[in-house]
Amino acid sequence: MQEFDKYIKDNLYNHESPVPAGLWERIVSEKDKKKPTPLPFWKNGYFQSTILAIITVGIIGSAYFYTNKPTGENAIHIKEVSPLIKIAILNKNATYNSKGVIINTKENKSNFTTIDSRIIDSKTNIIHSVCMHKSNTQETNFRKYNAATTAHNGYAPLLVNNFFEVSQSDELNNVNIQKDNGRLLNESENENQKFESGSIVLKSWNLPIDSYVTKTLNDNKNIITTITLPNYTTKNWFVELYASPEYNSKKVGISSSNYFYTQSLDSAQKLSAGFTVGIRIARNLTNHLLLKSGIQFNQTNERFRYKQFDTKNSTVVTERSYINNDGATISIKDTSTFIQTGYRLMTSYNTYKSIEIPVIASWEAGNNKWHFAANGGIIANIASFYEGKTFDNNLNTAPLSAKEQNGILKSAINLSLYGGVSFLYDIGNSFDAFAEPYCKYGLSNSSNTSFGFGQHFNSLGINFGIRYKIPRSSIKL
Amino acid sequence: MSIVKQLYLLSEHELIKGCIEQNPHTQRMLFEQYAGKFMSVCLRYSIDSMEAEDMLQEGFVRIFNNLHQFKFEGSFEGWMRRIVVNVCLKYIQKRKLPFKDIDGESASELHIQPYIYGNLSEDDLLKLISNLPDGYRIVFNLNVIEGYSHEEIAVMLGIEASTSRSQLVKARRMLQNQIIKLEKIAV
Repeated sequence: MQEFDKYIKDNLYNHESPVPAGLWERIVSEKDKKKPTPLPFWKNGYFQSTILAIITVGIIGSAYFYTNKPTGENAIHIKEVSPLIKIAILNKNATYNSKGVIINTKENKSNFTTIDSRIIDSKTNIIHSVCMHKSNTQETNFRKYNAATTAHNGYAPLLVNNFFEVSQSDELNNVNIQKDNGRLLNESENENQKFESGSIVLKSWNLPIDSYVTKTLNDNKNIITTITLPNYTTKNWFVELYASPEYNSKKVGISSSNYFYTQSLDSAQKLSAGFTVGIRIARNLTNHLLLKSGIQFNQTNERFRYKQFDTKNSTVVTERSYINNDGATISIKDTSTFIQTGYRLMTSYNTYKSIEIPVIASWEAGNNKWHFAANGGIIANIASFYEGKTFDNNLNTAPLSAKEQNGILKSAINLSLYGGVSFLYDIGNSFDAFAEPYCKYGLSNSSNTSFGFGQHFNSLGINFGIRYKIPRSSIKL
Repeated sequence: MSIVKQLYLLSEHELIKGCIEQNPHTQRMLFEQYAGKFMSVCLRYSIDSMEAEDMLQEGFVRIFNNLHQFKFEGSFEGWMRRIVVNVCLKYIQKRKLPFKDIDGESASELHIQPYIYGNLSEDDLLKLISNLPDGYRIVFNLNVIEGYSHEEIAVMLGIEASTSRSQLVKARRMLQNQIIKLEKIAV
C-alpha cells in the first residue's frame, strides 16, 4: 500500500485550497483581543529606577553635607550660614593698623563720642546698617544713618573685599558720613533704641547684636568680629546658562483598536541622543528654597526605519540545444518570468524640536564652596517642530510635519515632570559652575487622540552650566 | 534627513523574526504564503468549509501568539502545520468523534494498481477523502498525509494504537473501493 499512500501524500500534502475572503481581518481582530495592556507608568522599570536614583543621590548628598559640618566656634556660621555677617565698628577718632585694629585712640575707651558702625554682609558686600551714637552717659544723642544710602556714598568701596587691606589713611579719608543722606534721630525717636555703651541694636531684627555674635566687642577695641544671623534670608536673583546631552526614549501606548498601526510605529522608531540648551532665572524664596524658570530649546533625534514592500519581476531565458534526427543542432529558447517579493529598507533621520518653559523648585544647601540641590518641577512644551517621516493610518510613510500629516503629532502644549539633583561649585566673582543630572517624564500624550494611541517622551540628561548671582544695588532696612 | 535604500528579499528567518516582532506586513506575508496549504489541511479534517475556516483562523492566531517559542530547529512549515493539525483535532474532540467500525467493511487489504488512481486529480482525491467516515478520514489524514505513527495518533486522539491501525486499513480499503467505482463509471 506504500505506493497508494505515497501517491495520496504527494498530491495532497502541499495542496492549496482557496482562502475565504476576510479571513485575515478576522485573524487580526482575534489576535488583538489577546494582547496585554501596557503597564501604568509607575510600574515602569525605567521610571522606578530613575526615582530610586534621585532619592539615593539626595540622601547621600544631604548626609554628606550634614555629617561634614565643622565643629567648634565656626560651627555656628556653617550651620546657619546665610548670610555670614561681619561687623566693623570704626572709631573716627582712632587710628587703625592695616588689619583694621585700633592702635591708638584719642577717646576714652568707655566714653568714646562717635562710633561708625557698619554691618557688612560678607556675601553681598553690602552695608546693612550704620549706627552712630555717643555712649557718653551724659549724652543721649543718637544718630542713625540709612545703610543703603551710606553704601552708595563711599563706604562700600572701602569695606568690600579688602577691608583688612586698606591703609589707615585711605580708610579714614574715605569715611564720609553724609548727614544729609542719613537720618538724624533725636532722643524721642529713639526711645526704643537707646543703647548701652558699646552695644549695637540691629533695627532689622530688633535684638541686641550680642544675640548673634560669636565674638563681642573686646577691651582692645579690636572690634572686628563675625556674627551669624539666623533666619535671615538674602533675596538674590540668579541667571543660569546651561546645556545638556540627553538620552531619550519614547513609550507608545498601544490601543487594541489600532494595534498594528501603533505596534508598527513603535518598532520602526528608535530615539537617539538629543540635547537641550537654555537659560533660567532663579530667585531664592528662603535660605534653601529657590524657584527657577526660563526658556530652553530641546532637540530629540530619531531613526525611523521602515520596510517599503515591493515586488520585482524577473525574466529568465533558458536556451537549450539538441540534435535532431537529421543531425542538425536545434536551439530552443524558453522564456519564463517570476516575481520576487521583498522590501526596501528605508531609513529616515527625524528630528523633534521643542521650545520649553521649565518651572522648577530647588532645595539647596551647602557650604561656601560646594552646594547640593534637589530639583523638581514641570517642563511645559509650548511649541514643537518636526522633520522626517512616519507612518500614516494606512501604514504608508508620510511626512512627520504635523500640518502635512493632519496632526498625528501635536504641536500644542505638552507637560513633562522634571526631577534631578545639582552640584554647584563656587568659582568666584559671583559665579558658580554646576552639573545637574535630571530626568524628564512625559505626562502628556504627544499624539493626536483621534489616532487611538498615545506616546510619551522621556529623557535622561545632565545639565552643565554657569550660575551668575546678580549684584544687588541696595538693601532697605 | 537622508534616506538609505537597499533591496532585500525576505528569508524565512526574517519572516519569522518580523512576525515575532509583530510586524503586520510580515504577518500578512506569512498568512498569504501558507493560508492556502493550511486551508487544505483544515478542509480534510472539518465537517464543512465553515468549520475549516474557524480552524484556520484559530490556527493562525496560535501560530502568531506562539511564534516566539519556535527555536529555529527543524522545518518551520512543519512546526506551523502541527499547530494547525492540533487545532483541527481540538475541534474534532469537541464533537466526541466515535471511532467505530463501519458495518460491512472488512479490514483486509485491497491491492489496487497505480494506473487506476494515477489519473485522479487533487480535487478528486480530496473529495474522496472527504466522503470517508469521520474516524477513518482523520486517522487516514494523520497517518498517510501528515506522517504520524499509530502510537502518536493514539495519544493525539485518545484511542488505542490498534484502533488507529484498523481505522486506517478500513479507510484505505473504502477509499480504494470508491476509486474503483469511479473508474468503472468512467469506463
